Amino acid sequence: MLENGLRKILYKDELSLYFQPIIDLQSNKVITIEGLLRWNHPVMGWIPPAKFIPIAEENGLIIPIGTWVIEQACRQLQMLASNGYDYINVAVNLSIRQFYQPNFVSMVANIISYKRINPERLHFEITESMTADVQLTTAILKDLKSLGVYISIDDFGTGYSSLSYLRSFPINTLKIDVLS
Amino acid sequence: MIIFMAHKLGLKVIGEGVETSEQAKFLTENGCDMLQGYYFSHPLSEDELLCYLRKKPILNN
Repeated sequence: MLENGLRKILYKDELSLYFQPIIDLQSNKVITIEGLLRWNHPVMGWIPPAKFIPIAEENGLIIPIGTWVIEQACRQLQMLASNGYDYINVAVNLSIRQFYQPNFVSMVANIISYKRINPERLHFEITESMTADVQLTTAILKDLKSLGVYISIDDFGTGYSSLSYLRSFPINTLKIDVLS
Repeated sequence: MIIFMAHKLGLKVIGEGVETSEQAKFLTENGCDMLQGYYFSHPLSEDELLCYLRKKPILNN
């Protein structure tokens, strides 16, 4: 049932992105907002990403959903800039399958160019589980970074917990959970 | 420790999942650069976000 609904998710407008503020402690201002997926199912109501993202990873729908998320992030950057908040970044999560698509970096480059956004304002969050192949991850991250975007490692410390490999990754930020 | 090492590598650190003022204080004192969590705000729709951005200040230092 979830899977069938998921196939129609994008053209039926059931998916939306909500934004959680990230506060910069030096300026005491919102410096970034993280876009988080919400699926409003017509029958089942709100379905949390933890429930449908694994299905979407499995059946490949994560690719169009992931592209949609990046487009929405860029749309949000335009909205923020037009409201005088051109200093605020928008961060979105990347999924493992999306990240390893051969055309992933060129897809991002395309969106940045047609949405005409400042790439420095677009931040991507990856997880430690996506970095298992250090060489390949480093290569993709370098290509991605060359577009001007920022990269964070989400949930750091819960997976491989190795600070040493961080040296080879062109990343900007670590996210740590208060409870981990 | 992670925060100290991250700074040594030139990385910024975001503390997420912050739900209480004690947690915010702890992470701030331990050198986090940025904080995120329900203590500050739950995920917002576009309209709610604009309202949130207009009201200041965020922390009562």
